[in-house]
Amino acid sequence: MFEVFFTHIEEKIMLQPAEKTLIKTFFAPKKIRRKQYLLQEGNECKHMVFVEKGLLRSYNVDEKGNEHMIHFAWEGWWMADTLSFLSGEPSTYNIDAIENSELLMITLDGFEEMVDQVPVMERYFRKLFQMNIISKERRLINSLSFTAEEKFVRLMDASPEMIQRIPQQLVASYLGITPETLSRIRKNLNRRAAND
Amino acid sequence: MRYSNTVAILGAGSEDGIWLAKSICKSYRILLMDEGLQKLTALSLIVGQHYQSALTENLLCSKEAGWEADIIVIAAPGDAQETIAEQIQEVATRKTVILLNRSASMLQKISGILPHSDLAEVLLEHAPESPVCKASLSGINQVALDTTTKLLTCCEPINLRVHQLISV
Repeated sequence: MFEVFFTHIEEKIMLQPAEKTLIKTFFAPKKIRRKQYLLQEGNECKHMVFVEKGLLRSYNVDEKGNEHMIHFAWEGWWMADTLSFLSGEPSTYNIDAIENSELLMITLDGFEEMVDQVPVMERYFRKLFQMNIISKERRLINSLSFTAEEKFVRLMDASPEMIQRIPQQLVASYLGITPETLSRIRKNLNRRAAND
Repeated sequence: MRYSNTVAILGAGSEDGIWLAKSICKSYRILLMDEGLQKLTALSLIVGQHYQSALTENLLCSKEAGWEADIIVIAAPGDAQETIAEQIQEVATRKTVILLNRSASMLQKISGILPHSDLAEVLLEHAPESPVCKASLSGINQVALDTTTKLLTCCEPINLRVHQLISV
């Protein structure tokens, strides 16, 4: 139940067995089924979630009903609407499961209690938040500076699992392009690869 | 599928389990767990007749039901509650676990088995001749009391007599 979780954490910090036992007491294990919501727009995001198994997505929906992908999380990734989680404001996101998933959920109070009792976890989360900032900056630069094809190629390099695992129309939405454009880009890339 | 909290009722085939499932099925997604698929199928039909759009699932494993739930209700009678608590130990951490009982309190005993759960106990006084069900509520912390109170507001008419915060 905590295998992926501790493997992921121990890539960044060292934990003693007693610390692992204590950390486990702050997380609620939860299974959710494909298409089931974890958070719906307008509700407060009360948990930060670690994915042990499965795949989640966060997205918002515009007034025309179009979904815009914000983030995907599979094994070893965290998912939350950080703004709502930290401020208590209603979320503007939806989070649901693309695959049946096994999650570990922690509340803000639980999080504060945990880092108080296991201070080394603060270091882990500092590293995690730093990586999160870098990733958001990269995404912003990508969306402002690159063509659709360049965005896709960069995503393939940075996150090949996303391309393999996530339905094409969701990847297109994540990149801010239409599924038709993404399909055309893939065909062009395949054609060029065959010619090389 | 809209968002709604999932409640697992373990021992759902008991009189109290059936009463609770019927009472909360409009507001919560329910996982019905008991021994015997026939019993559960019959129970699903009862709940479905009570509220056609009820979201219910039948499960034969306490741990699976508890794992999928946000709130866990143990509605099985007496000593069976200890066995169920042991089965869900690994998946009940930081979840509200509600014990439904008639007379003797199991709260102290179960808190030893589920030390990291938000435990509450509802002692029911079903009075068939009265349209009002009397109940008293106790819990080990405010989260447990608040979650249970919210759940019980679906169970009108209920006369919730006591709010008691106990330390175990």
